[in-house]
Amino acid sequence: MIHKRYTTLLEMLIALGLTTILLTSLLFYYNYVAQLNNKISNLEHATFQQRYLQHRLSDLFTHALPVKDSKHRFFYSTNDPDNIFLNNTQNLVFSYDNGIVLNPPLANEVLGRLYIDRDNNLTLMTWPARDQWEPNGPATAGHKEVLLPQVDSLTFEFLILPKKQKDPPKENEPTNPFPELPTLGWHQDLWKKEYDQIPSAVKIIIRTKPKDELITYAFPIPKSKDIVHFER
Amino acid sequence: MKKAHPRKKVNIRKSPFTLLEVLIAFFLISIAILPLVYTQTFTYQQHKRFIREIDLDRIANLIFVDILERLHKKENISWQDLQSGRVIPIEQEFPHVSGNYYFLTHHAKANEDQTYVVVDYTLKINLQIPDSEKIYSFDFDLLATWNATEVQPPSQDER
Repeated sequence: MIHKRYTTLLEMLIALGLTTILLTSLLFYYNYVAQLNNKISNLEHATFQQRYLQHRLSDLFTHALPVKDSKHRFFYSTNDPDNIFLNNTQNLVFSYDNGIVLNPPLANEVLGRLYIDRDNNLTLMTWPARDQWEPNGPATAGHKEVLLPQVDSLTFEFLILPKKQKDPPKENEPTNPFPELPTLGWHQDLWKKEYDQIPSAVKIIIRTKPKDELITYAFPIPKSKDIVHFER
Repeated sequence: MKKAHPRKKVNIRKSPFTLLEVLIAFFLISIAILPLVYTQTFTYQQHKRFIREIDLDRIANLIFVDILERLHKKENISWQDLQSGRVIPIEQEFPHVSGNYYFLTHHAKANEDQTYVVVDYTLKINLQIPDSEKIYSFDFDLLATWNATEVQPPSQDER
């Protein structure tokens, strides 16, 4: 005779308890993996956006054009006098060489403005060079390019270095090419049109929105042609 | 008449699992899950490292601009540092990044009346991130002129 032994309530409860623990740990693991994947995905997204920004800005400032004695080229920053950008943030207007593009008016020398639009996008607006404008403005619509979304603030710093000298400086010759500026070094105020020069380097400081993270980029401007001069 | 054998009473005793056995099995399953968790954590760490690596480009640019400024201001970097190729530790503090830099002399040319010398340098910035022995090297070209009346220009072969 086979005696069938039934499961007791205690055994059942223990089995249920163990199953609960097992399922909890499995769900915890699943949740952990999902969170990690989400984090990785966000990190990748943010990194590639910032990487793109670094690459794009580096390309732009490498091709920034000198403005000296030119009526059609510009390099200056403003504080949004017309209140058309985000929270009265700074913006930078500069001429640069856009190279070969499909739209002929936006090829080669163009005029760019770097600013934060009202949707918190760090944006580059590109128009044809100033000498191609008609009396009422540019004949061709500008090209808007979002470089980085979710940006809260944008500030610029400009490096002022002594001008290029073919010969060692003569006596009483000023080494500061910008007599309006107090000292050589990093200039944290606006870069005025009247300076009629491009700086040796630009620092772009942005604050990103979700993490409230401050990111600083620095770009030397090769066209400024600064040479280090040493004198013993 | 043959006597039938009495049917043997088969006693099938079903051996139930003891609590200890179940706990041991549970413990083993938990151990088996650990490598899976480790794989995910490792992937995440690798991603963070990769992000630090690609951020080095931005940091190298910041260091270059800082060196450029100090060269012009003659702060902490002398012409001897340029000429000797001395390895100089990076003073700026960046989280998770350490490194050094030095100058390589490539080409030197004096002007006609030998009053100054134009020297073509490569600035090599070497950066390292924690938990990695790999050194990331960034090269920047720069020109320097120096007064040759008191200083002997470097030879063309100098590297």
